[in-house]
Amino acid sequence: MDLITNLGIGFSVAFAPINLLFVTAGVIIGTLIGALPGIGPVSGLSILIPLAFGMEPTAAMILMCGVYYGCMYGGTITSVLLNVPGESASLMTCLDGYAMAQQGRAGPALTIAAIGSFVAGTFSIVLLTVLSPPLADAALSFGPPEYFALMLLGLSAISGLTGDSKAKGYAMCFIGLGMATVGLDPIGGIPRFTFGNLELMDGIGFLPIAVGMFGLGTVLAMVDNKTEMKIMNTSLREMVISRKDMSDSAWPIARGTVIGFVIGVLPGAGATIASFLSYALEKRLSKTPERFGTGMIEGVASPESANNASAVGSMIPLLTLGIPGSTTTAVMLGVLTLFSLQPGPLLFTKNPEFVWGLIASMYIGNFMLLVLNIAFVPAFVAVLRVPYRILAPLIAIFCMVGVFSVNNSIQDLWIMLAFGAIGYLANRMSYPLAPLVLGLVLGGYLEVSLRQSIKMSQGDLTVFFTRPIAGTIMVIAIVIILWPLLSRMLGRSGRDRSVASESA
Amino acid sequence: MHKAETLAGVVVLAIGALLLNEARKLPYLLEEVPGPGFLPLWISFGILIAGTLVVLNALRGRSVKPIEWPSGWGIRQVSVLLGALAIALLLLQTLGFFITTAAFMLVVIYSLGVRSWLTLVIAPVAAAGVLYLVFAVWLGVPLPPGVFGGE
Repeated sequence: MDLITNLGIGFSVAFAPINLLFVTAGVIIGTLIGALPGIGPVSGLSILIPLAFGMEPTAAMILMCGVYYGCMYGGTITSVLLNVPGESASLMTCLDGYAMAQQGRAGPALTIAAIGSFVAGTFSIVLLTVLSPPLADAALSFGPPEYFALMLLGLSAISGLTGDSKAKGYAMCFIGLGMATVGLDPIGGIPRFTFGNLELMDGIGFLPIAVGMFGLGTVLAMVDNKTEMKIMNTSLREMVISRKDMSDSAWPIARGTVIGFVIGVLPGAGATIASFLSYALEKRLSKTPERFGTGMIEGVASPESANNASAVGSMIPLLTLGIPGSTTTAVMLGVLTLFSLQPGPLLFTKNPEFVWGLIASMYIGNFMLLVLNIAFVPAFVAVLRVPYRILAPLIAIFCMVGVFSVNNSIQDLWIMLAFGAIGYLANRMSYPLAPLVLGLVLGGYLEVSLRQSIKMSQGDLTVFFTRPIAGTIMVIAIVIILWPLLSRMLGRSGRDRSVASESA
Repeated sequence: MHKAETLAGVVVLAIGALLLNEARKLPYLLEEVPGPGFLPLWISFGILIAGTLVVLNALRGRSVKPIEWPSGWGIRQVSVLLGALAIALLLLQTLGFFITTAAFMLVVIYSLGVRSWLTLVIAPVAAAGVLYLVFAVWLGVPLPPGVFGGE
């Protein structure tokens, strides 16, 4: 079967020593980044971009993916031990996880989180393995109108569904799109908005912007307050879980996996939403919903499984369609573009070792994380003791040297600095950064598909609706855009869920 | 809080207006097909519409989450960090990577409250060392030697 051959290629790539090294490094770094409150997968990946740049593309992607799903494991550590979410997808774990810790059950909480994450992650990777080739095949028949519709869907989902203010979300999205138009016009080659600046001919530069907004911006958010943290002690012996814990968690893990995976695949919704929804579902299905929040292991197993499943799920649209399923994958797309690797159906035919090597390494990475998170928690906890006063400036200077190392450009550094300040302000004022990033990353492709579509149809705009697939997607996108109006008309009181979109 | 929200909205509008102005200078249609000015124009409309909504919301006092501004101490730390980074940026190629990194670390950790002599000496040096290992040794990136000339 073709699948076996492909996996075979994949594993031979994944087991190459250099790639093994990077998957190990990735999952360890990811766990640390996930554990550190204030830095999530988006910031962590952005800080690492300059490093990835110096590596071979497959190794770089393996590293980044490792960091991504590693974060989902690591975020649990501080949620359980400190009642502080390591990143927003671990927020729900704080509720029952910390309660369990206070009852002396931190070990079982962490262990079940690791097991749930492993099961969910592995199962999702299997689905990824099985579903990607047919999806990529189907996508081969996609033309510019379909791609335009998909990107519109992704952009509207991220702008309209996450964050508190939709107006701000759309504003950021359009600004990101506008920024993407700086540089040489992709079809005509005419410079736009470059104001005679040679460096701007290539566009504003995704790298300094991403590192600035998410790396430096995060650092600034770290230093503007004095919060200290007290860590609870965990001994390894306590990591053993009882059979009852396992059986109680079985169904929550299963349900969390399914919810997480489906939400991950949908563009715009990420790990955070997945964890919220799965927690809510468990609570509703439970015979003792009132005990949620007091230390129910289901309340840990479910969201932890969901966030890992969604991380893997969001890789599917990225790899098969070239459309990011979450902010983190949007950053990955930006990096892949820097490598001149175009994700999408052609990736499977032109670079199979890359795709399958990546997928195979995800199996390896998840397994490593299971071991790391059960056996080495005390080591990670020790790292958390590094005070922010040292960590913050270290990350800042790391970002600066990193960005400089890519292009030797002082202009890049100024852009990074500016966007660091902008990112910090935007966070404080509830302007979501995800739509800006997505707009910036997709802007070029969006414009090309739009103009190609209209050229194909010779000026007929209905082409986006007459083609069945494009038409369906366009309708969904329009519904999402008009949703606030629609829900108000239907009389619902718009209950704004303040969902942190940053680390989705 | 309304003032800041309104101001931010005005900034958005300004960006939209700027884009609109520049986009109009570009050809909208090229041989009956959208040209380079097409999308930027529509994007600028999008920004302006969204910006107007933001300003309206701000003026009507309808912000979902009130802005939490950091304390005076926090503002000072943010300024110190940004300022130190800006200076580091300017001096990176003159003073070289090692001195710039170490100096930056020293200034910022001191500002953040570190007073132990040991930390004040070790942290900057260790930071520069780690960065050197990662970028110069591992990635083989040439780092500005500055006053050390050819490191």
